[in-house]
Formats: sequence, structure tokens, C-alpha cells
Amino acid sequence: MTTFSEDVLLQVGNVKHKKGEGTLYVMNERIAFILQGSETVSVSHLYTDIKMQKISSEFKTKVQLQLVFHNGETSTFHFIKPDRSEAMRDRDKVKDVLFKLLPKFQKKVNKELEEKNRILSENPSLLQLYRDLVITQVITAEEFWSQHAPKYVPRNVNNNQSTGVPANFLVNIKPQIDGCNSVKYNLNYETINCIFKTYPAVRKKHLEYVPSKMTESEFWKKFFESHYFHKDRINLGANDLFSECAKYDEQELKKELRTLDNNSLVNLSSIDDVDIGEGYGLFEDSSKTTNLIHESIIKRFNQHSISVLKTSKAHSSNSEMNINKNIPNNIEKDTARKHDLPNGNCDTIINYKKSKIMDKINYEDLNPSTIDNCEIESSNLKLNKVEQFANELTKCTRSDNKSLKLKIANSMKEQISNEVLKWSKEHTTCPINPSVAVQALGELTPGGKLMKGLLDDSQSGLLLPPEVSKELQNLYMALGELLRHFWACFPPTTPTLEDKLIRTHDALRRFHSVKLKPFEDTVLREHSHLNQISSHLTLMLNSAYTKYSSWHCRRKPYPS
Amino acid sequence: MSESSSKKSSKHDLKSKTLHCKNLHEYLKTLSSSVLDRLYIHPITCLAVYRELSEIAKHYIIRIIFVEQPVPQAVIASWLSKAYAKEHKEAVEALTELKIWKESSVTGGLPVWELNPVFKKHIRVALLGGGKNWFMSSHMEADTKPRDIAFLDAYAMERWECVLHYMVGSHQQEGISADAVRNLLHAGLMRCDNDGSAIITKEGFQFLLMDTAAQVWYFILQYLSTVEDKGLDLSLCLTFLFQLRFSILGKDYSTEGMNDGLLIFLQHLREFGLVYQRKRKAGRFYPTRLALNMAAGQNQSDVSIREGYIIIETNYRIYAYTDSNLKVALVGLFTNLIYRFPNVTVGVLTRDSIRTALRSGITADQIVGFLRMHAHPKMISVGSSILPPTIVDQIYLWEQERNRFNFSEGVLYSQFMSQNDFETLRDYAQDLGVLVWQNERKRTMVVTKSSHDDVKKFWKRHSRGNS
Amino acid sequence: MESEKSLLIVILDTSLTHDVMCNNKIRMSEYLNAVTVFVNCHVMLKPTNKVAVVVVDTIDCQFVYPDNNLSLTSLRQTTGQCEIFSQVEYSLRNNISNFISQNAKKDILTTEPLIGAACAKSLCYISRLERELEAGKSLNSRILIITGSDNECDKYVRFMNIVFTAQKQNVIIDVCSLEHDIALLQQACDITEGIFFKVPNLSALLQYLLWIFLPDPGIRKKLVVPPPNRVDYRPLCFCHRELIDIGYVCSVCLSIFCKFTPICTTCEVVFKTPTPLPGKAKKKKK
Repeated sequence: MTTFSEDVLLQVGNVKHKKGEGTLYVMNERIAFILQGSETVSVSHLYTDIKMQKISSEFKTKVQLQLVFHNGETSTFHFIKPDRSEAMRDRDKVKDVLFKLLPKFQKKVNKELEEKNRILSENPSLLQLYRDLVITQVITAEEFWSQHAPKYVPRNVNNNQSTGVPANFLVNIKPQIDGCNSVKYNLNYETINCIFKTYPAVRKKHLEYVPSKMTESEFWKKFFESHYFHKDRINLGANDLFSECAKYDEQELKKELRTLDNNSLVNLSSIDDVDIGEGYGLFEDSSKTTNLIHESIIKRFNQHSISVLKTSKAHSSNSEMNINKNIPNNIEKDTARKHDLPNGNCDTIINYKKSKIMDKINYEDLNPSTIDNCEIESSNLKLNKVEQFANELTKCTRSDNKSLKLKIANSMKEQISNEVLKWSKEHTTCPINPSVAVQALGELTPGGKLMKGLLDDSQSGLLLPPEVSKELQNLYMALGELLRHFWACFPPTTPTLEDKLIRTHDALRRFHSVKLKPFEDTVLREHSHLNQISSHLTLMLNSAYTKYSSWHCRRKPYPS
Repeated sequence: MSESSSKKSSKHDLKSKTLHCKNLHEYLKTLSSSVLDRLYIHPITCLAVYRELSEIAKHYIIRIIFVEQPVPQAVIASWLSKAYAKEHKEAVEALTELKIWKESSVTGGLPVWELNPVFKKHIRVALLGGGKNWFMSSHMEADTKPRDIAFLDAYAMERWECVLHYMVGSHQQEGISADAVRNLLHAGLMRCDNDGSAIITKEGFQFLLMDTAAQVWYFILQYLSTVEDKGLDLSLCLTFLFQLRFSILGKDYSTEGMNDGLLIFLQHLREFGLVYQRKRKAGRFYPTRLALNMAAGQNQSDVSIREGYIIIETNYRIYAYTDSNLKVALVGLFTNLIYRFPNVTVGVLTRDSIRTALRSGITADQIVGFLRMHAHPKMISVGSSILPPTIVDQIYLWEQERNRFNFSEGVLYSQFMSQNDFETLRDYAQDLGVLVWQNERKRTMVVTKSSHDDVKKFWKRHSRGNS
Repeated sequence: MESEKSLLIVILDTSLTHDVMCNNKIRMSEYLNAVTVFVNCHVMLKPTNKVAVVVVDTIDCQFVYPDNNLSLTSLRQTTGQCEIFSQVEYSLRNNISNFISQNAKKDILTTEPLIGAACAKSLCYISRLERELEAGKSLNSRILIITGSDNECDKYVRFMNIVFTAQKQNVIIDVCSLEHDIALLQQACDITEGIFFKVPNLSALLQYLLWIFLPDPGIRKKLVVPPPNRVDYRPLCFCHRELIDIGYVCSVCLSIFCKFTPICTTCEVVFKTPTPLPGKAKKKKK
């Protein structure tokens, strides 16, 4: 009945889609819908296209499931079992299956897109090529990725790195409050995974309870209701499902504390709620009474952090051995690893670390003991040779030269003074000799003696404006890529090569009209003296066309 | 087939003319070259003309002023980096228009610029000295009662406001001579009412809102256009005006050596407050700031003549800190005045008050310009935009409200004998792009006035061909 | 009504100890003439252009224009020269000749002109004018130093402080050197974005002044001016007075030495003997 060679995971009848009644099939990679009495699949959606699913509210009369796609479109299925509860059950079944399936595909799609994005952003030249060729629709995106970019795509991406747990994942589960007193938490697959990773005890409970004793949602409801989730775990009722977990966590923390005891980098044992108030942290406010709630929440935070760190530990354990060897160098790289180290080794490392940190944070001249002893006073710069300090950076003139000059100057001053006196009475009408003025004009005009270092304006006119040069560079790059593929097709001995040749030729034609023509037009309009600039590009294209047409002519006769 | 007989101008240009105040450059361009040549004989006019040039042009002149030979055009063009070629072109045009330099070529056909020798000689005189002295600078004894700058400012303002006062509508002809009134009438700022008394015109209203320097310059320009009818020498008067412009405030000058015509001119200037003279025959005069700032243009005037007094708030309230009736009246042109106190008047800008002003021919530009010009120093010191932008925008919006009609002059063609004729002519006009309006049913169409002749000719040819 | 004034302060070095003067490469009267005409040209450009002239030599420095003692009425035009120009010219001629004849009575004891002091005076003058500005107006100020000095100017540290003050006040310092490339003044120009120019031919001094220093900074971008030289920022060491690229700097008083000394000769601080710790000898920026 179905044309797909896929497993049907779920089959639900009595479903309406766009006024037509039929059966909904949930399969491995897609969801399909077949109209009643029809043999063919009328609707089929790949999971990779689906962004999310939505269900109708429980109070609505219609029991519906809506799929939202990445391109913004939606598709609605209406479950029309006469019995409403049955319809609901059908719907929920579909929903649950999809709930498990979708994340896998979503990740796949996202990963692919992300990967491509990353490649493009890491290779600006490839990005430019992408812009020039794909966005202008000279070639299609698939062609681009398969033919032009393969050397950029990493060959085998098999070292699957598992994502770490973000420390704030609990905070990110934001409750939605809907009017009346209820609070709604939206959990997704990833968050659940995070919780499991961080709190193994909860996972244990989940395994224990979920399929058998309560449903998934009931379990999580309990979880959130429980004080376990709430920040201050003071009053845990004995009947609480998670009280055991809490106890387990407590034990874990204690264990951690023991191993970390002599590590100066983390101080878990001192639980002080110190805020930097008066005294700016210099004086400890001893009057403060320790607050049980505060204490417990700090403890809780520490424990949470430890748990989060521990999740990343598992992966690194296999590489532990070689790291042990060169610990002094590597030690600060991975703080999470420290718990596993044997105790004896640990001590030396920690001491080393301590000393290193002390080295970094302590300054001899800021040492409080030394500061306390001497009174704080602003120290003045005491110079014993003020003159030297102020003057010495200037070149000294030879003293004999200096005295000679002074002698001349002193002898001249009468004469100059008379000259200036005469000058003050006279009147000039010609302050500069015209011929000298012309000479200076020549020197200062671009091209003249004094303007040598300057870029000649007439030359700079021949230089390309930066934006044109950039554009030209891109054109060369894009066309070069296309031509490389074009010429690589010769001689076209196989049908695939022939096919590729035709496609590349079309791409060249498109490139010519979409990119090169507008460029030529702009250049002609704005920089008319540069009109020859694209001639080489055109020449390259034309030789490709000639080659293609000659091949085309010769090929024609024999297939037909 | 009848002629499309009735033609009438269907729409008038009802738009109000805005008062255009030429700057010195534009004024000089209108003068004949002989007048220009005569003007360049006076160093002071050379200087005045020089100051009006664009900055680039000024530097061109400075660079070649001490050079005795013509300079190749390419050389001068290379002085400015290529990115500013437009400014170079403008500078070259201005210099050519004002006949400061002229194009010629040396042997070898190299095009060169040659500085006007008269101009060159005399601007060098202005800068360096030599030549004849000014006709108002002959030596004289020190004034026994010298006038200080504050006094001169007060005097100038009082005289000038007298003129404005007269315009605003105090009908008594007090303190203003018949000559001045004639000048106002000539300038079109006022017109004679039926009973012979002068009333202010639309242009007059606009005039009132200009800044003082521009007012003086506009007024003087109008005066100069009548000066030759009065038997005075235009170039002499201009030269004298320029000398006043470059004179020093607070210094007294001698009337000795001035001819009768100039003395009359001086008396006119005295009346408007451009110069101060204790007595008509005192033999000495003091130029005032009005004369110094004349035509200097807004951003060039050295020191503004008066303090701003208007504070305007975003709630459309206007506070005018002044006790002058004239200033209150000016603000009242476009404001709804609410309170009047000894030193401050409070008003509010409303749609009605602005529309009243707009109806009397004042433009929004002028209102905004007026407010900006007279803004209180407190408002200026606040920030870059002196007036609250919302107020400015609103005033412009109120103005645009009135411009819902576009007027264009045209000629109406009607009473076509046949639909065919009508369509032929209409299509012809449409192809030319001169069709303003048409109605097929009534067989009427309007074409632009300028193309009337073309359409008419076409029609003649068409009807002749048909008949 | 935003209006901009442009103030040019010319610092005119009339010291007799410079080579230019000693060897009579330019006559003093020619020199003064050129500067006077240049100053007048600045006034001619725009009515809002203001000018001040400070004359400086090895003994004293003094404002010669604007001159508050000048009485307006004492001056009557005798030629066709415009009054504003003759006023400037008259003040310059009178006051400069007074200044020179006064100082001719004193003994010249040093070869270094007091350019730093003149700059300081000019900056004070500028800041006073700026304070007196009306609301909504702005003042563009620049200082032009015209000197024949070959020496690096009087007091390095003090002069540099003045230069940085000028930079902070947005005052451009231009230098027209009559003969030498003066590293210190080149640095001053470079820091304040001014122009340093060495006149190649003293007889055309005026033309060079008009060409290069008359345009305001705003218009300099448009007009093509000679390209700037590379500025040498190398300092001289305190011990041998030689230009050095890398040296030792006293950590207390910042004195520069080309060799390691155990005691700073300037502030007498005792340095610890070089420890195994590397990096004690700090690099001086080039």
C-alpha cells in the first residue's frame, strides 16, 4: 500500500487533513497522509523540514495536531474519532512519537546548516564566491557545495563531540504562567538530558518510576513540585519522591569536599555569605549572623557546580594517563580533572598551584604589612639634577660654537637694531621678487621639487578606486572558479562530463549577464576612463564560448 | 471646422513670491563690465570682492598675486586634490565671472589664467599700501567728544528700528524722511493706500523677519538701484559703502574731500543709522556696526548686533524678554500674545497664529529663521539645535497644509468640432509632455503656456491639412 | 547662527644667534616684511579671522599684536592700504622695532630662543579668548612658529608639556623652520597635527608662508600641500646625548641612559644590581 520502503512506526486512522479524511502514517524519516480510498500518498513531510509540533488545547472541541515547518508553513491534522478521549489518545500517541523523533532530525539539519555557515564564515573568499555565484543564481546551492567547495568541507567528521552541560540550564527552564494559578514548564529533550547527566540520582528514579509507576509528565511534575528543585532544600517531606535523591546528593557533596579539602583553588568548606559592604571587603563584618537558608543555598550552588563539572569528566578520563606525566605544565588547563588524581600526586600539584597563584596575586610593594608599618605619604620625585632632568633630552651644541655665535650675535645687535628701526619707518610695496615667487610656485605645485613624496594626482587618476578594485577582484575569483570547472570538463568523454560541461556553460552565460554586464555598465557610467578594465574577463569568457560552440557543433551529428 | 478659438489663461500663479536677497557676488555679476572695471580701481572694492569669493578661490588669488606672469590652467587645477574638482570649477567660474582673471594662452597654446592687472594692482595696494589714500581719511584733530562703541550701537539700533517701526504701522511719519519712505515704496516693501498713507506689503512682512544685516543690505541694494536717477555716481557710492565696511568701529572719519553727491549719500546713510554724525556739517562721522556688518552674510558677521531675547519651549510658548514695542510687534506677527509684562511678553504659537502669518506672505522658513536668529543666549548655549525640533517641524507642517494646490499657468483649448480633432490635438500635446489637464467629454484641454505656440501651430497645420 | 572664528598666533623668532642671522642668509628687514604681509593676508581672508603676533628671542618674549595701547584715532590713512591692514602693520613695525632695540641693550647669554615660553603665553591667550566667546560660537586656533633655531629648543620636558596641552585644547602647532630640521618641533607638529616645513629658499619665504601656512586646517585637506616628513621620535640619552633606539630608563624619574648605570645620575636612586629576572631593562619606545 505504501510506496515507501520505510518502517511504519505508527498508523492512525480517522484523521482529517484539509477537508479530506484518511490515515496518518508516522514513519522513520517522514510523516505521511493517505486519503481514504486513495492509493497514493497525498501529503508527506520529511522530519528534517519540521520545525516544531503544536497541539490544540485540551478544552477545544477539535483535537488537532499542527506541524510548523522551517519555511514558516503549517500543516494541521484533525483527529476525528467519534469518542473524544480516543481521538485525544491517538493524537498524543502521534505527538509522543514525533517528540522523540524530531530532535534527532532537527539536530541533523541544524548541524548541516551550522557547518556550512561555519565554513563560509571561516573562509571569506569562499563566502564571496558563494555570494557571487549562488545568491545571484548563477549556480545552485547544491552544485556549489558539491563541486566548488568540497576542499573546504572537512572529510570525515567522526569525532563526535558531546556537548557539555551549561551551568545555567536549570535557570533556562523558564516557567510560563498562564493566568490562573498554574505554572507550566516546557521541557525538551536536551534539558532532560542535562538533568540526567548532572543528577544521576534523578535518572535512577526516572528509570525506576516512569514507564511503570507514573507517566513521563507526572514524573516531571513531581520533580518540579518537589523541594528538590526548589532552591533551599530545608524541609523535605519524608514522603517525597526525591528526598532520597537529596540525601544522595548530600553524600556526594561530602565526598567531594573531602577530596577537595586541601585545594586552594576552591574553597567549598567555608560557607560564608559575605557581601562587600562597608570597608570594601577589607574588614570582615563579624557581626553578621549566619543564616541557615543562605548557607544551604550556597551549598546547593556549590553542589550544582560540582555536578555540572563532573559531567564533562567522563570523557577526559581515557586521556588521563598521558596528562599525568606532564602535570606541572598542564594542570591549570582542566580543573575538572583534579578529582581523579591520586592523593599523593595531588598534594604536590596543589602546592605548586597555590604558590603560583600567590605569586600572581601578591605584590611586594602592596603588601599590607609593609604598608602598615610606614605611614602612607605621597612620595615626591627627588631630583638632584633638576636641570639635567628638564633639559638633557635636547641636543647640545658645541660650547665653542655657542660662544662664537654669542659673540657674533652680540656684535650684530646694534646693526640689526638700526636696520629694524629703519624698517619700522619705511613701507614695502613689493615684499617678494616675482621671479622667486614663480620659482616657489613651481616647487610647490604637484610634480615640483617639494611635492616628490606626494602621490601624483594624474597618476592616482589611473589607479582604481578601491571599491572597483574590490569588485574586480571578486569577479576574477568567481569567474576563475567557474572557468576552472569548465575547462576541466575537456575532453568530455563521459555523459556525466558532458552534462557538467553544459551546466557550467550555462552558469558562465548567467554569470556574464548577471555579474559582468552590470559591472561594465557601472564602470562605464562612473569611471569612463576605465572602460577597458573588464576586457580581459570578456576575453576569457569568449574563448570559453568558442570552445563550447565548436564542441557543440561537432557533437551534434552523431547522437541524433 | 472651427478654430479652437477661446484661449484664456486658466490658472494664475498665486504663490507668494519670497523675498530674495542677493549677496554681493550676485549683485556684482549684474553690473556691467565697465562699472566693474571702474570699481576695481578702488583697492577697497577689490578687497570687498575678494572677501566674497569662495575659500578655494581666495587661496588661488593669494598664490598668484605676487607672480607677474600668467599661470597655466593645468597648474592651478592641480593645486586642489581631485576629489574637490567641483569646487575648483565653481571657483574658476566665479573668478571669471567677476573678471578677476581671464583666460588666454601663451605661445605654444597652453591655456593660462591671467589675473586682471587692474584688480591685481589694487588689491596689492589694499594689502600692502601705496597709491591714493581714501577719501574719508584725511587728517583731522581728535574729536573733543569721542563716541564709544556702545553709544554707536545704541544709536544705530534706534535709527534702524525707527524705519522698521514705521513699517509695522505706526502711521505717524515721525523721524523718518520722505526720502526714506520713497525708498521703502520703491523697494516694494510698502505701498500707497488709497488715501495716500503707506501700508506694508507681503514683501514688507518678510523683510521684517530678516536679520538686521540682510535688511540693511537689501535696503541699500534697493537704494543703489535708484542712485543714478538721483544723479549720483554708482561706483563712487559703492566704493564709499565698501570703505565704510572696512572701517573701524569707534573711529571717526573726516568728510573732507567728499564731493556733494557723496555728502548727500552720507546723509541718507545717516538717516538709516549706518553712520553717526553729530551735526550735518560736523565734518566728521562715525560708521556704525550696521555699516560694518552690511552684506557680511549671516555667518560672517563679526559680532552680532544685539542680544537674542526669545525663549521658545516645546509647549509652543514663546517668551520674549524685551520692552521694545517693535520686537513685541514682530513676535506678534506669528504669535498669539497672552501676557504683557514690563520686561517680558508671553505668547503661544498656534495653528491660527502661524496661518495668519503665512497668509500675510511670510514663509515658514522666515519664521524659523527669525526665531533662530533672535534666540535667547540661554537657548543657544543649550545645544546644537537652537529651537526645539518639534516646533520647527510643526511650523513647516502648518505651512505645507496650505500648499495643497499646485498652480501652473496654461492655455485652455475648447469647443472642438469633433472628437477626432480633440483627440488628435490632445495626443499631440501629450506626446510633447505639455498636457496639463483634459476632459474628453467636454472636449477641453489645457496645455502649458510655454508650449502654446507649438500646439497652435500644429493645430493650424492639422486643420489646413483636413480642410 | 553658528559662526567660527579662526585665530592665528604667529610666534616670530628674532634671535640673532641663529645661523640664518649670523651668516646674513636673510636680512632681518626682509624677514619681518614677509611675516607682516603674511599676517595681513590671514586677516584679508575673512572678516572673522583674528591674528596675534608674539615676538621671541633669547632674552624675552612679548605680544606685539594685538596692541591695547594703540589708539584708533592716532592713525590716519596716508596710502590706499586698507585700514585694518595698516593698523596691523603699524603695530608690528613699531612694537617689533621697540622690542629689538630694547633687547639690543642687553647681553645675549644663551643661544636658545624662549619658544616654549611664547607657546605657553599663546595658549593662555587662546584659552582666555575661548572663555570670552559668546554662546554658540567657536574658535579655531592655531600657532605658527617661525624660527631659524637649530637647537632643539630650550626645555624639553616643559616644551613637551606645552605641546600636549595644545593637543588637548585642539590647538594646531605649525612650524616654519628657516634652516634646520628640528626634531623637537617636528614632534610638536606631529602631535598636534600641524605642518612642519623647512624653507628651501629664504628669498621666497613669503610665498612659502602663504602657500603652506595660510590655509586653515579645514581647507588643507583640499589643497595639496607638501607631504610630511617622517618624524624622528628617538630620544637622546642623558649621559652622552646621542640618539638611541633602545636604552635604559630610570624607573623613578624616567631619565634615559644608553648604558646601565648603578645609580641614576638625575635622581640618585640606587638600582638593584641586575637580577636573574629578565626584562629589567625596559625598552624605550621608538
